[in-house]
Amino acid sequence: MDLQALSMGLTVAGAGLAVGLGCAGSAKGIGTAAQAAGGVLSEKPHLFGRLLVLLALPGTQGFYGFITMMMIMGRMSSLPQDLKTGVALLVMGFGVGIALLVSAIWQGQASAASIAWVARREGDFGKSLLLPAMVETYAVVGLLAGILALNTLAS
Amino acid sequence: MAIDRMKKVVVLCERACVDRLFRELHRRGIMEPIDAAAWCGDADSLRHGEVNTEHADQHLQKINLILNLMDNFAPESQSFIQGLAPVPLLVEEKELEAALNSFNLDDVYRKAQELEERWRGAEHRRGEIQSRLEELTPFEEISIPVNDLRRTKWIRMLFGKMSLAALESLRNDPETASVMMADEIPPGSMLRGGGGGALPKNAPRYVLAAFTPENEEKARNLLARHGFEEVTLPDIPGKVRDRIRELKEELVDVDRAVAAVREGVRQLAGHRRALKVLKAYWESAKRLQQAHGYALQGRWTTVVTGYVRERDLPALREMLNRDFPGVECMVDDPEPGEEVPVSLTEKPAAQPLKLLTRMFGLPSYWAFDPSPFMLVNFYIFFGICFSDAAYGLMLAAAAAYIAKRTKPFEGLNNFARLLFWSGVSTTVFGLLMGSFFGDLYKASFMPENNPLRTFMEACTVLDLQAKTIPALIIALLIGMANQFYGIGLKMYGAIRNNDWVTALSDGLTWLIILPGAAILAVAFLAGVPRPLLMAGTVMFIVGALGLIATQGRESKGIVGRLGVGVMSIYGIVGSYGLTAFLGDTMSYCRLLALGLTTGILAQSFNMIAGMLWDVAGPVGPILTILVLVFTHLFNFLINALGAFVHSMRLLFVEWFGRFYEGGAKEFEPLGFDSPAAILKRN
Repeated sequence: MDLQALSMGLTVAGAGLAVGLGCAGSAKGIGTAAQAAGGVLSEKPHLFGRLLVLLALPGTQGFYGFITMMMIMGRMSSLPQDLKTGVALLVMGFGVGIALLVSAIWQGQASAASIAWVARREGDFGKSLLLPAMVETYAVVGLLAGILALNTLAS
Repeated sequence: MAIDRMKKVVVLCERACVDRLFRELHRRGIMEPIDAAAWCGDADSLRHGEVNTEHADQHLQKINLILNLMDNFAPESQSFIQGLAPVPLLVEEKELEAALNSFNLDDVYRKAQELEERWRGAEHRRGEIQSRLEELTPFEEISIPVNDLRRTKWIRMLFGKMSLAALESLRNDPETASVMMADEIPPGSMLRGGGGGALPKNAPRYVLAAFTPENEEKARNLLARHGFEEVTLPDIPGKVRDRIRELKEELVDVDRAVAAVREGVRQLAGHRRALKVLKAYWESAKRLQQAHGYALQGRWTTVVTGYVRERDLPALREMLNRDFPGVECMVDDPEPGEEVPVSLTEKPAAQPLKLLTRMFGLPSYWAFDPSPFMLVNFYIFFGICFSDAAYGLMLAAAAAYIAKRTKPFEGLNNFARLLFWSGVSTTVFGLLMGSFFGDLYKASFMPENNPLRTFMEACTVLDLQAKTIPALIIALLIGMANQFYGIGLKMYGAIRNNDWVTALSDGLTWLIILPGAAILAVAFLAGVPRPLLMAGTVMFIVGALGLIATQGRESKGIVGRLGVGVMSIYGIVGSYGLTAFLGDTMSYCRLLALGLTTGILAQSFNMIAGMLWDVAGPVGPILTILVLVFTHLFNFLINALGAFVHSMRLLFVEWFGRFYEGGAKEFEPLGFDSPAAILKRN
């Protein structure tokens, strides 16, 4: 068996999982928030700008996944091409991806709650941004942990 | 300057001049009336003033009807920025006078009312037609007049639907043949018109059952047992299809009627601004009337009380002395602990940060305003999170433009100025971290030694991607420093109130133990010089003893006090805790993560754009530029949002949690101005 090719395959799979799960989570999160926003906008179209910001918040996880993928792909040439590294990167990509997936879904729920809040109290838009931001913390931690793990492997 | 000093004012005036007094207070906008009963107590001879808002309500009802109609049929177009931050209506005095004196509200109202009645009538008719169409549609394909299927002399017929399985069971029921004839009306039969074809298995089957009058009861019971759902035939002369066609033609007429209403409303929409001005006026007139309800009236005199900013007091006195020579004015300081409305006046540098304070909640009158204390940390956090020199310049330029155009609107102007300084900070951190549209200056399609590259490389102090661990340590150190800053502010707030016990026990003790604990943690993980280790150990022990001695000070018994003191170090009870400090500090790692996000995304976009340069042939450079413009604009927007939200979160959650409680009521002087409209006085 060509271990080098296997390692490379596992690494690419890890990168794919990170970006795939992150994007899937963001799609779900934005979908949830968009459903809430659609209902509010049918009654209060002037809130479009503010609700667009709220429903865009769960979209960042997709980009965190993209960043993780780019970091993995960018460092591939400098990483050892052995099975251990391949497995490590696969698991890392999966772990980061799961953090992004779950946090994006729940951030979508939190955004929907904030949208309902803004619909009732338009002046509270600033405060309402905080609810989804609280959830995103753990996507940030997941991304950072992934980057640190990658740096550790590369060193 | 921060929280304006307030005075409680009691004005005793003749009953006859109270209307004039309120009008003058309303015109000047310097006093927030409060219930005079709070000052007078239960004085039997005094009663609350009468509130009559009927006149204002009548005008507001007319204006709201017209504006609602306009919102339905001729909504006001607004830019994306206006959607993000609604701008109050800025009303000139002349404009207000013109609206009050020259605008014929009754005439416009009459036209609007007529249009509304036509619209409601049309919509009512549309509802009727649609519901009739829903009733008739199932019978559309019956090609004979439905009245031919009604009760005949010798035969009774029932028309209805049932599932295929139910129809089969009805057919197989031995009783069926003796009671009635029932069968499916197949698609394409005479009843269902021509055409048709095989129905899907789960589609309901239309069934016609025929029986003699004497078998009617038995037949109905039998059909009910097999899930037959009778469909009442519509009572119309002629064919259903013809009636449906007539109704659809009527719907077209209804659409025409609604279009005519829309056109009528569009013609009225030219009056929108005048109506908004009038709405602002009548809302303020209503507030003026409601203020009468706060006053207490005796037989001859009226008592008016309220809060006035200390700096407005001379103007109030001057106005009373000049225009109301008979009145008595008493001025007092608010009682300690009293819920006083809060007005903030900032120095120019801290003015934009007032926005954040208001967003979280205003400070208590007896506390201090945190806005000036955010001058450094918010901009640093934003700058690190965004950390791209080019994005910083873009943000500063856009914010400067908005700030220039929004001077009369305090909230929006503060936001623009906040973004301007955030943009400046972003530029500085972008230079320090070597990011200008990511690594655009290093892109393959840029000249090797371009001046931008030389400049950026000269400025770069810390490359986040190359030195992630040092950058993480710096982020955590910034977090620790900010938490200590917050604890320091808690001490400051306590000392301002002469509460030295809180300052020392809930502030100083944590400022001793937490750095000690941090040194011990670093010593455990990586090692530190021996003198530093000794210093850390001493600080930890001294701080811990201080906490054990003080954190349980409100508990009973020595055991309880010591127990609470020990637990407070961990963080279960008490004013802070090691675990809370650890969690708070770790939260600042987002500074690094968001900084990395901006840079890596920008670099990825540069890489994608760079691929197009050679691949796409002669249009490659154009495509590259287009991709760069769109992707960087996207990156700019999404990361500016992230930087703002997460910087705000670090302040609101981790930092404010140490010393600040918002939630005070804002000072709202009686006057024309409101969040919806501002009167620009000459």
